[in-house]
Amino acid sequence: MMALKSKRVLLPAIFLLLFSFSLFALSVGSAEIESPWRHIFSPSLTGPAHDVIWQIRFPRVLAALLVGAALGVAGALSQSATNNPLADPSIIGTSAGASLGATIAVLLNIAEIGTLPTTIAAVIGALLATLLTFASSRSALQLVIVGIATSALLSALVGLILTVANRPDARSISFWSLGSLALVTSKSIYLLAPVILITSAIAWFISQKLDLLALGDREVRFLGLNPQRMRLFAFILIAILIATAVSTVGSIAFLALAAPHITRFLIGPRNRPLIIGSAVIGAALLLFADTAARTVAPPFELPIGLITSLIGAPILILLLRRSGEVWR
Amino acid sequence: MIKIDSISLAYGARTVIEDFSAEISLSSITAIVGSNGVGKSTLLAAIAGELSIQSGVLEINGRDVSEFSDKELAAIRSVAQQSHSYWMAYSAEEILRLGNECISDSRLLHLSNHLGLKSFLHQRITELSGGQLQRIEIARAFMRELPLVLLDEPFASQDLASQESLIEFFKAERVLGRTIVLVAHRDRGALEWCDQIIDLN
Repeated sequence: MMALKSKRVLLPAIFLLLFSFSLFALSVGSAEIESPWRHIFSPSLTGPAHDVIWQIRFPRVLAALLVGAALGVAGALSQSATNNPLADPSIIGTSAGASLGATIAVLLNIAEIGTLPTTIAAVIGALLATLLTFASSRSALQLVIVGIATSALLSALVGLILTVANRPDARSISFWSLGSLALVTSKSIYLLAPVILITSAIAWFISQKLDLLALGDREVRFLGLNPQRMRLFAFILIAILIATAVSTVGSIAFLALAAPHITRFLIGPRNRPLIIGSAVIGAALLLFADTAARTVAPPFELPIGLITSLIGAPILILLLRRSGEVWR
Repeated sequence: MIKIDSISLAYGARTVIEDFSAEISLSSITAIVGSNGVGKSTLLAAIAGELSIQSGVLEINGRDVSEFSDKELAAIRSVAQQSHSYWMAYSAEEILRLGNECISDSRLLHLSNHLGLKSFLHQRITELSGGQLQRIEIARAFMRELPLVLLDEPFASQDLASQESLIEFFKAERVLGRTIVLVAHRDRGALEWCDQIIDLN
C-alpha cells in the first residue's frame, strides 16, 4: 500500500489532471476550429467556433464528468453495501431496471427522454429491480447470480419493447446497452448536475456507516444494528444515481465496477474517501472515454461502452495483479 | 447469570438439542464440548439471542432472552465467530475499531499486548493468517468490556503457545467479573482451567 503522505497528494493531483484534461477535451472534436484555446480562455468571444466549444462540447464534457462521477459513487456504494467486490449496478439489475422504467415511460407517452419524469420512471424501475435481486438472494454469490439473471431478463424486455414498438423517440437498443453522450444538450446538465451532486453528497454523508458492513451481516447484528436497513438507504441512492445516468446517456458498461476498485487500490477501503475518490476516478475515466469516442475516428462516434471497457478492464486487471493479496 | 431450563433447539428442520438444562454463573468460564454436529454452536447462538428456542426457558440475568431487543443484547454480550473472511483491505486495527469507535486506546493496547496482536496490528486484515485473524476476532469480542463474552472455537487455529496465553487472558478477564462461554473442540483434560464443562454428547 502506498504511504499515507503520498495518498494525501494523490487526489488533488488527479483533480488537477482532470481539470487540465477537461480543457483539452474542449479543444478537440470533429469540427475543425482554428485556435480553440483563444475561445476556451475567452468565453466572451462570439462566432461559430465559440458555439461549437461552449454549446456543443462544453455540456458534453460536463455530462461526462457528472455521469462518470455518478457511476463511480454508485459502484462504490453497491460494493460496500453488499460487502461484495462483484456488486456493480449493471450486475445487480439496477441499470437494466432503469432502462426498462425509462422505455416504458416513453412508450406510454408519459415522458420524453432526458426530462425529469423519465428519470423518475427510471428511478422506480432501478429501485424495483435492485430490491428484487436483493430480496431473492441469500448470499454474496447468489446476489451475483440472481443479479445477472434479473439484468438479462429486464434487458430482454427492453429489447422486446423497442423492437415491437419501433419508436425512434425511445432510442435504440444500442443506446440502452452501450450508452452514448452524443445526444447530451445543455438542458441535460440542468437535470444531471443537481441530482448527481446532491445524491453524491448524501452518499458521502452516510458512507461512514457502511464501513461496518465490511464486518459481515452477522457481526453487524451482534452489534445491535440492522444490516438490511443500512443497505436499503444505499440502494435508494444507487437507484437514483444510476437512473439519472441511464435515462440521459444509456447504460455505460464496466465503469461502476472499475472505478471503486481502482480507488480502493490507491487510497484504501474506508468509505468516505472511497466515495470521493471513486467519483473523481469515474469522472476521469468517462471523460477520457468520451473524448476518445468522438475524436478517434471522426466524423464517426464509437460506442462509449466499448471504450470504457477498453480502458477500464486493463487498468483493473493490472492493479489486481499488483495487489493480488488483497483479493485472496 | 444464565439459566437454561429444559430447552429444545432446532437447526433448520433438524432438532439438535432436546430437554437440555444448565446454569452458568456470573464471573465464570464455561466450555461447551461434544462431537461434531452435536449442537455446540447452536447452543451458543441461542445464548447469544441469535436463534430462538423451540421450548423451555433461557434467561440472562433473570430475564427471558427473547424479551431483549437487539440493542439491549448488544449492550450485555459480544460474540466472536469461529471464522471470518474479509476482502476489503482495512488494517487489523481499523477492523478492531469498527463499531467500537468510543473504546479507549488503552483498552486496545491492553488487548494487543495480551493477545499478541502487536506485530500485525497495522497489517491489512486480508494478509493475516487464520490464527492471527481469529485473535483479532477474539479481541473484538473483548473490546467493549461487556459482562458476557461468547467465543466459538477460540483455540481452533492457535499454536500451543498462543493457546496458553489465551487461557491466561481468559482467566484474567474472569477475575474482572466477565462471564465467558466458549465452544471447544478438545478433551476434558485440557479444559481443567474452566469452571464448568457442558458436554453435549
